[in-house]
Amino acid sequence: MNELLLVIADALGVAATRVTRESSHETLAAWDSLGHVQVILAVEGHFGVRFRTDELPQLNSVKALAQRLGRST
Amino acid sequence: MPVRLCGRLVHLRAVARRDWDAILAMRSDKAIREGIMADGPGETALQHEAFFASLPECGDRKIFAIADARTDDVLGVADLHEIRPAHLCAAFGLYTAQAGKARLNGVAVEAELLLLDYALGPLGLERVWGRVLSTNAHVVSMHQRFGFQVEGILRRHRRVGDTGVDVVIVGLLAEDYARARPAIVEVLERLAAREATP
Repeated sequence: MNELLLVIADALGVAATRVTRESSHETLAAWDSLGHVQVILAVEGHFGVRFRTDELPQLNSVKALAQRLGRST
Repeated sequence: MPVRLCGRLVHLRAVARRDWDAILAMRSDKAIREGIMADGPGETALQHEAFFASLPECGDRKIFAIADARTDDVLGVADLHEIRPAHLCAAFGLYTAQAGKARLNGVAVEAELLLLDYALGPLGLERVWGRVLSTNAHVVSMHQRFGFQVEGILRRHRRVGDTGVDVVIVGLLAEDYARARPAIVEVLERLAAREATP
């Protein structure tokens, strides 16, 4: 989980302390439309995964990404 | 000759008659109506037709359908309004449908890039500005990534339900955009490379 939080924080260009397991596009202003693209690209690149295009809009929270990656929250 | 602005994910083109029903559905969506600060609970079909019928006569407005680059389905609307050639500035607005393909990543980003490229390029403007509800922090954030700056707050300028909501004025100068644009393009290119990889 911590690794995911750091990847997201880096992708969004925010301090690591601002990204928690409760974070989402609704709680972080930087997680805007462009930020979401950056998060997806960063998470895919870091964890070596490839999300389906149709699931991308739903992967807009730490929890959703963690669940998708198969890590516990 | 209608203007057509082409991207990888979307293109901005003239609104066609076949788009009207989809655009009416978007403009009737509560979240979109709040975002574009439209008055009233929804548009009637008659008001909608009258609006689009008047467009060719509105010299200070350019309205585009945001269309899927592959299917040409309308995904949203982008426009420049209050275009003031003498003052080299215009206001802008942009919204996409709340579901379906429009929610695919990069659609709104590329649409805004195309619109701003046009406004600050061929249209010859030096400044673009807009209004955003203060409750849409992520929208303000995205505009800031394009180089927009918060220039002011209109306090309790809109009512959303029973609540007075501030409206944020954002403004972009051509030089701000020139500095911000490369980073936006880089992200879109990475997205395109991802899409091109099986």
